[in-house]
Amino acid sequence: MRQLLDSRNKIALFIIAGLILLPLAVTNQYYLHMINLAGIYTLIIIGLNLLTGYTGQVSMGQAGYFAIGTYTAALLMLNIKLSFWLALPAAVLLCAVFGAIIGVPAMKLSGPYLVLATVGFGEIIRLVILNWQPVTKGAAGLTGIPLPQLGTFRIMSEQDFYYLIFACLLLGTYVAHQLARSKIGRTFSAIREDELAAEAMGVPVNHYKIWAFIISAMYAGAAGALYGTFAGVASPDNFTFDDSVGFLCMSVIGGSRTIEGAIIGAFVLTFLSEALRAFQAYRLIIYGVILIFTVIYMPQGLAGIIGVWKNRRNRNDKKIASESGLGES
Amino acid sequence: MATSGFLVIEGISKRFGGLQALDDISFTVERNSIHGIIGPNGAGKTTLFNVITGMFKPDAGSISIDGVRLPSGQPHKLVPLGIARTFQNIRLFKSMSVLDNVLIGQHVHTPTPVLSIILGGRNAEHWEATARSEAMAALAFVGMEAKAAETVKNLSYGQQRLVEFARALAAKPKVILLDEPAAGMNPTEKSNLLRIILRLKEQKYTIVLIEHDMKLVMNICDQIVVLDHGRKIVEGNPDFVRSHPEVISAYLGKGDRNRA
Repeated sequence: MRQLLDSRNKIALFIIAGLILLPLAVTNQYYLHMINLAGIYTLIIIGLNLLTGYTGQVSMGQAGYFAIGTYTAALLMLNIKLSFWLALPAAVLLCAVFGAIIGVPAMKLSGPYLVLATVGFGEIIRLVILNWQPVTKGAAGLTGIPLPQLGTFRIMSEQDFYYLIFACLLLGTYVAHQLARSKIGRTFSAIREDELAAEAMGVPVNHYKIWAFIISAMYAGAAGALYGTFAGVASPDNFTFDDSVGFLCMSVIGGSRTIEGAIIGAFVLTFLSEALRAFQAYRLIIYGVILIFTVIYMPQGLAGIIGVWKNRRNRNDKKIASESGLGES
Repeated sequence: MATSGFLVIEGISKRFGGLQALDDISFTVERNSIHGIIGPNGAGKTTLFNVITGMFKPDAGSISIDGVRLPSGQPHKLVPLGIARTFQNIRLFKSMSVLDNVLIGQHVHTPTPVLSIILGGRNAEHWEATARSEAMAALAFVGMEAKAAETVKNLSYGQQRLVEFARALAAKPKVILLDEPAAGMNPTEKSNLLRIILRLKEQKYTIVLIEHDMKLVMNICDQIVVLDHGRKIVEGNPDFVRSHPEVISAYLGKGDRNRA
């Protein structure tokens, strides 16, 4: 068991080392830009997976939190010249507050009603940003969002942002992984499986649901803060209902019940939608078709395929071990 | 102590629209006894369970355990007071492992040290290990420890019932409420269940059970309450209940049809 864990850690270290060296191999600025964008989306999807995949609370309003994160950080940096390193946690905190606010109706609503409530939330946020002219500049959006400053070093190139986003993603993945494999993740799953039974076994279901919303909102908030400074501009068009649907597609297609699934889903769909740029108008149709195929043929998402492959390998290992008399001693 | 009663149900009434599901039900369950609740379909047995476990708010009446009045409407608050239940139609977390299911039963008995969980600290590890060993002990009690890693939906119906049993045990209750524990079990599984229930009694648990299998009920219960149309019609030991004319009439439909 210990050995298995060690080998898994080794694999993780290899992957991390590979990812640190990646910008040396990928010199094409356009590809690096896409990787960065996918990395930001991954943060949103990790939060969404904890909420939707683990806890079973479907949200179609993540673009709302993403928008709050973006605008909060950007406005703090633009108007009171706050450093990015303070604007980011501020954005995350404000999103947590909004997460709690949406979590409260979620205690009463379930299924399609909850989905509609989250859709409504996302739209309200977009409309507020669109119409709160004096602060948000309305449809024109914000421009010239400052870059993060690290001492005297200014994070500005795609490479610089790659490392910033990579660090945030590493932290976000680690925290989500720790939560998911703990008592908290187990309790989230129990709520998804049978709310009533969980309640009967002493789980304060409402409390956990609100926290699931808060956590997912915080992830989207962090992603938003990164997005603003990365893109330099932000407008209400970046945070539409279509974006929320896209996030949910990433979650489901990647595999909503695992953290890896979030990473796979965000990267696959970000690159796919770039590859299909010529068919931009049909983007949601293509997503829809993929979504239907995923739900029918691989309900665990792309991450599920990897899981099946891993299980098969483990089983083969066990078989070989037992045949050669090297079973568990 | 013995005569004061342990689980005291006092004047419980519950109405659903025009249906009086429970009508002024009172009885007491002694510590370390097996108390059966029987009655024809629709008599209000499961409703009574749902009231005791806080899922329904009664229109009138109160329930107390060991002198502490139980709150209603918030089932999760009853588990720390010592109440755990199983369901008539098994309600497990189907796509989770057997062990994870039983671990949820442990929920209220271990803290949730969030910071330690995120940092991978010793505190979180310690409580996780504690919960795991307790859960394994509960699984061993019902003889399911070998299936700990199995996903629940791959188990047979009878095995799923045992897992639900273990989950309730992991909550370390004072009173266990079993809603038709033998439903859908074959004779071998039933006799195994009977042994488990009797062993629970040996271990000083108090058990309340709803059951349709008369042989099982008559064999193991110390006291039986018979419900019909939401009213308690008879209460007594198995021999008394078995021969009581009202019980026979409730079950077989004979007897006085002029009753209001």
